[in-house]
This record gives sequence, structure tokens and C-alpha cells, in this order.
Amino acid sequence: MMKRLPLVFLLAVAMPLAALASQHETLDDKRIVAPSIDPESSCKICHEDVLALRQDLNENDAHSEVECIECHLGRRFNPHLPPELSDGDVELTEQFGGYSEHSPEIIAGCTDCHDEVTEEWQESIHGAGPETEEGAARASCLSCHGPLHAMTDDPLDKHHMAERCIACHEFEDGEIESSNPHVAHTFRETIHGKMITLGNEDAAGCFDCHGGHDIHAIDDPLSMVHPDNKAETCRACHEDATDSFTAAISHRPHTIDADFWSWAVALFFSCLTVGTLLMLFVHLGLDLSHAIRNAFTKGGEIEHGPEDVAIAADDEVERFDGHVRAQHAMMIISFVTLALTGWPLKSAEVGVSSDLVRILGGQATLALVHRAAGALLIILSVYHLVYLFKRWRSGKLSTEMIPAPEDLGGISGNVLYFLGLREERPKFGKYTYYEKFDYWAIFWGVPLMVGTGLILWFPEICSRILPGGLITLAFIAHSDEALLAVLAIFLWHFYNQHLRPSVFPMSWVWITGRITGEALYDEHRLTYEKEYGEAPPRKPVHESAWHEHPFWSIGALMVVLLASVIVLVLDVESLSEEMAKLGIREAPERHEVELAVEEPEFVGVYDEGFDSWETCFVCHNEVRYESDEETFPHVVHFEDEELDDDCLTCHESVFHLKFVTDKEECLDCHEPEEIGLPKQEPEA
Amino acid sequence: MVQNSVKRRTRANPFTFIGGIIGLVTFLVVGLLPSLLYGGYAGVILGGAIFGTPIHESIFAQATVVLGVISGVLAIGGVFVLGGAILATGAYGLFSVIHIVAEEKEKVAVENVAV
Repeated sequence: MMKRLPLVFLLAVAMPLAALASQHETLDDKRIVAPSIDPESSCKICHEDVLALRQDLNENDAHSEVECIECHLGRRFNPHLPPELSDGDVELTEQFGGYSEHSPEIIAGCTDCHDEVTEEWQESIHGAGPETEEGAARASCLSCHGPLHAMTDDPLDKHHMAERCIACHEFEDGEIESSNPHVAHTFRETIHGKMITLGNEDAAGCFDCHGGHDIHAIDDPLSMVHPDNKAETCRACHEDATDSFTAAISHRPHTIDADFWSWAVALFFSCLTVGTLLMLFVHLGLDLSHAIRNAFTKGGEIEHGPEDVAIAADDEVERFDGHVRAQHAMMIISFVTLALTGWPLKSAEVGVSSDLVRILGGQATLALVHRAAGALLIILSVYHLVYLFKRWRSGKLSTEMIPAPEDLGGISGNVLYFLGLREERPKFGKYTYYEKFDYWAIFWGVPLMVGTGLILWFPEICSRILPGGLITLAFIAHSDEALLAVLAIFLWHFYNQHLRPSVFPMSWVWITGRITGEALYDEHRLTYEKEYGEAPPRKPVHESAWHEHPFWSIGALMVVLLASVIVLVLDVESLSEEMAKLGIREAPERHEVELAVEEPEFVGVYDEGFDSWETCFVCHNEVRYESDEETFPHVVHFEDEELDDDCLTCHESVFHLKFVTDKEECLDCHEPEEIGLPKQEPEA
Repeated sequence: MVQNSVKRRTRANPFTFIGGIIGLVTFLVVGLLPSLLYGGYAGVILGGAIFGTPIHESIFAQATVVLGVISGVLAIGGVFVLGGAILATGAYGLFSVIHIVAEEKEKVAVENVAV
């Protein structure tokens, strides 16, 4: 009887396996799947982190219902494969149990269930294209769909999908023959790329234009972006797309060689922005330094006039009528809204933008609000033109806003005054040169922004009338002019009208429409003298309140500058990490896409005081409960805890590879005759 | 300029100034880092368009990025300060209206009691 025990034991193990193999033709002959395995409880013992990841899977993800062993059948995709069977590639062993993500065994794990797309993929450039160095497909399931264990979102999440496409298609020029090396960054710069980065799932991702499993090379007539098919592909989203429209959508970089006009427009606006900023900073710095000097020397204060002057320094006179204030209010609403909803799109690659968009209601909502604000800007423009026309008809239209040669004298005189080279400030009329700058900047900017905005709003219609390439130019111009406008208004206008020490933190003119006699005298002397003569306004009837003292305003600005310098000196990245630790903001990890499957490191319970009996029985409990002294004689020993050895004594390894297929292992402990082997003759 | 009637100044309430300071503090707490990031990003965009991408370590390219960072900080800082001042002024206005309405009600109540 004892002699037959090993055979019986082997049969006991092999028969269930054979039965299982008959149900799964693709199983290889070395699998080990114990019939008693309950993945939810068994795999969890060692792979809690993997199961935790899977529990986070989207409810709509079909894999949330898939058991571990359905993919990890036998040795296929078996992470317990030892390194020696994976050609020494330990990394691959840890990730895929010895196989690369392109290996047929891994792909078969997916196609067993997803056979409906297998053929498409096999005929695509990813499946049938030139082989990689690993001798497998160019891009297989996991290459595009990502690590299943770590997938916490919809597998079709376009942002992550695009990042995975980019991960392979981002290479140096010439690295891959006849491939466009600009695919990655040009996609990120397109409206589609930006919208997807911000989480808009309705925007076109890579596979919307190039195809998914049936993707083909661009010069293949089967390709969705082949010139013969491109318009049809675009019409899936843009119903009225024409060939002219499709010309605007490409992966051409904005370089002088690839796309001259895009390059030229971008260069023009960038130079304009930098030049304007430099000018503004010089002016702002001179003004601020003059204000600081005045705060300590008191040299710039107005010598107030006698009692008989018609206006006191503290008296107010009307500067803007109700229509102007209404237009200004509309401009504030539309401009701030446009800036707030448009800036995240421009800076989509900055991680904070995604958070900002999420807080503000999502990218689709922002797009809607942005267009509403644009419509308000159009209404405002019409309102302003009608207002000017009516003023002109009634003979009240002032020409003082029109730039004049005197403005050049005003600029030079003001600069000399700021530098202390001139005692008195130049005399300005109703509008100073910097106020004219504000007005004409908007007067030029609004038609540009409205025009380009309308092109972007209705690209199909515009492409019927205008060359499709204008859409790309409109996108660049709209985006870059917006940056210039935002910086000009927030820096130049805000400082000159609201944040100067003399009016800090806010001028009331835009609310009340009135200006004080002192401000009128100081900033619009020509107008003052025309109305009240040359004598300065009377002395204020009350002393200035503490908060009106320019020292506090300057102090506040100094705090801003000082804090900026401190932060610049500090390592911003480490500061960001510290803030993330404090929970102030999320760590900037949104754009990192790991292609490798995030398998938990197999620490090997064997190394941590492994009690092989109890551990192995978690999965292989049939050995404990379905064995008896006849089928498995060792069972009596471990029940009595008399056996010093454990499972690994015979099975050798936790990698499930050692099968007791012969009796060699038994001879370590038993004499041959004990297990039915002929007694070995001692060697001569 | 329409200088019809001369009125006493209506501005200068402490709420406006305090609001501006609160805006400044708020900016230093929550707005400084994003403004650095956004400003730097704007600088990189501008530098990339002028000097080409990827941006090389030339002094002008770096200066452009620094210009963007400073612009971002000052621009966003200005928005916070002015926004704080406007909100506080609005709060002051609301407070004033409520105060006036309450006074009117009290006045009417006193008159009713007297009657």
C-alpha cells in the first residue's frame, strides 16, 4: 500500500487539473490551479495591495468582476515564475512573470475574452507592424490600456490613454524612420490635447482620429487620417467639416520650416508681450521708486491752495458718466470671466489647472461660460460703438482719448519726474498717456479676440469662407493675445489705477464716477486749470486717516516682493512637496503614467518566518482536508506537529514549479525500499 | 470732463483697506505658489516662441522665464489685493444698507410707540 501512495497522491493532484485543462484549451501543461482556490481569500493573503487596487476599479470596468486566476491561468502571466526562467530579466519577472507586455502569452490573456478586437488589432500597425527589439508586437494590450491592477479609472480615460500613446510616440527626430517626432508635444498644444488634459472626455483623443484597435499608418488607405479619409473622420465630431477644415488639424510643429505662419504669429505675439512687459516694468519700477522716495521725503506733496479756491482737495467732481461706468462694469465681468475660464486651457499642462477646472465645474462648463463671457464682450463692443456714435451725433464726443504727439512729451517728462530730474509732473489732460494705452490696447485687443474667438467657436463655417490654416493661426493669436491682455490689465491697469500708493488698495472712480480735486490737480492738471484756474485745491478739511498713508501701501507691496524673492530662492519643488504633505495641495503626480504593471513586490513569505504548512494550505487546503494517511502520509505528521520539514522540503520553492513527479525528492528522507524503489547498491 | 457738481468725497472707509490687506495675505497663503507656476509657465511659452524649444540656458531665455515668474506673481497678487478690497467694500456697502434699514425701522418703531 505504501508503495502506491505517491502514485495516488499524484493522481489526486493531476486529475482535477486535467479536468480543468479540458475546459481551457489554452492552458499550458504546467499550470497549477488548485480547484479549491478562492481568489478573494487566497490571493489576498499575499497580494492585499493588488486587491486593494482592484477594489478601486471603476464599477463600469468589466475587470472588476474578473477573478485573479482568469488572467493568471497556470504559468501564463504567472508572477510566481522564478527569475531563472525569464532569461534573468528580474524586472520582467516582477512585472509579468517572465514575459514582456508584448509576449503572446500576455496578449492571449486578454484576447481569450476580448476576441472581438483581436483580428482588428492583429491587422493594425500596432499588431502587424515591424517588430520591436523584443521580437513582439509594436504595441499590445497593456501598452495602450495600461496596467490593469493600477487602473483606477475608466480604461478609456482619454487623458491617460493619450499619455500612453505619447509615451511611445515621443522620440527624437530621426530616431524612428518616417515617423513624426513632434506628435507628442504638438498634440498637447492643440485644443483637443488641452481639453483632454483638463478632463473633457468629449474632446477627440488619439484613437478618435487615428483609430483604436484598427489603427493604421497615416499613408495606409485604411487609415482614418489618410488624406482620403480625414474629412470623414473629422465629421464624426464636426458634422460640417470640409477638406479646408481638416487642413488645420495636424501634428506640424510651429517652426519656421514646418509651419511658417504659425511660427511667425507666435513669434510676433511673444515679442510683443515681452516687449510690453519690459516697458511696463520699467515704468512701474520708476513710479514705485518715486512713490517710495516721496513717502520718506514728503517732497512730492501738493502745496494746497488758499481758501478762496473753487474746489477743495477732498471735493469730488464727476469724471465718468453712467454709460462709461456701465461699460466698465461689463468689461470687468467679461474680462475676468474670460481670463478665469480661458487661462486653464492655455496652461493645461500645469497641474494646478486641472484642479482649478475641477473646482470651477469641469472643462465643458468652463467652455460654455467662456463663450457666454465672449458674447457679453461682443455686446459691450456694440454698446461702446453706439455710445461713441451718439456722443458724436450730439457733438459731445471728446477727442482727448486719441493719441497725440504731446503724449510723447508726457512720457519723457513723467520719466524725468520719476527719476527726480524734473521738479514738477507733466500736465495731462483728461486722459494720461497710460490711460490712453489702456484704452487703445483694449480697442485693438477686443476685435482681435472676438474675431479669433468666433473662428474658434465656429471653425467649420469659417473654414468654408477662409483658408483652414487660419483656424490654427486664430488659435495661436487668441491664446497669445489673451496672455498679453491679462498681464497688461492685471499689471499695468491695476497698478496705475488702483494699487499706486496714493490710491491703494482701490480707486473709487470706477464705482462713483467721481475724482477728488487733489487727484484732478495732480493727474489731470490741464483739465483742472481749465475748470478752476492754476491755484492748487484747498487744503483738506480733515487729516488723513492712518490707512491712507502711503507708507502702509508701500509696505504691503514690499511684503509681496519680499515673499516672492524668498520663494524664488527656496526650492519651489520641495516647497510644493511640503505643501502636499500638509494637505494644502495634491502632489503633482497627475501626468505621470507608469506603463509597467504595478505589481506588488513579491517579498516571499518564505523569508518572513514562512510556515509553509499554514501558508500553502490557504490555497491548497485540499491537501489538508482531502488527504488521509493513504493518499498523503505526511498529513499525519503535520497534524501532530511531528514533522520538522514542510511543503518546501519536497516542492522546493514557493514559485510553484517543483513537482513531485518522480521520487528523487523522497530519497532525501526515505530509503528507496520505503517508497517502492529498488534498493540502491552501494557504489563499488 | 463733466464737472457739474462738487460733492464731498465718499470714499475712504477702513473696510476697503482691510479688504486689500486680507487679499494680500490670502494671496501669500494660497496664491503665491500657483502664481509662480503660472508665471513660470507663461515665461516658458514666451521664451520658447522667441528662442525656440527646448529652451536653452542662454541668459536671455532665462531672463524671459524670470520675467514671466515676476509678472505672474505681481499680476495675480494684484488681483487678490484688488479683489479683497472690492469684496470688503461690497461688504461695507451691505453693512451700511442693513444699518440704515435697521435705524429706519427703529425710528418708525419709536414713532409708533410715541403715537
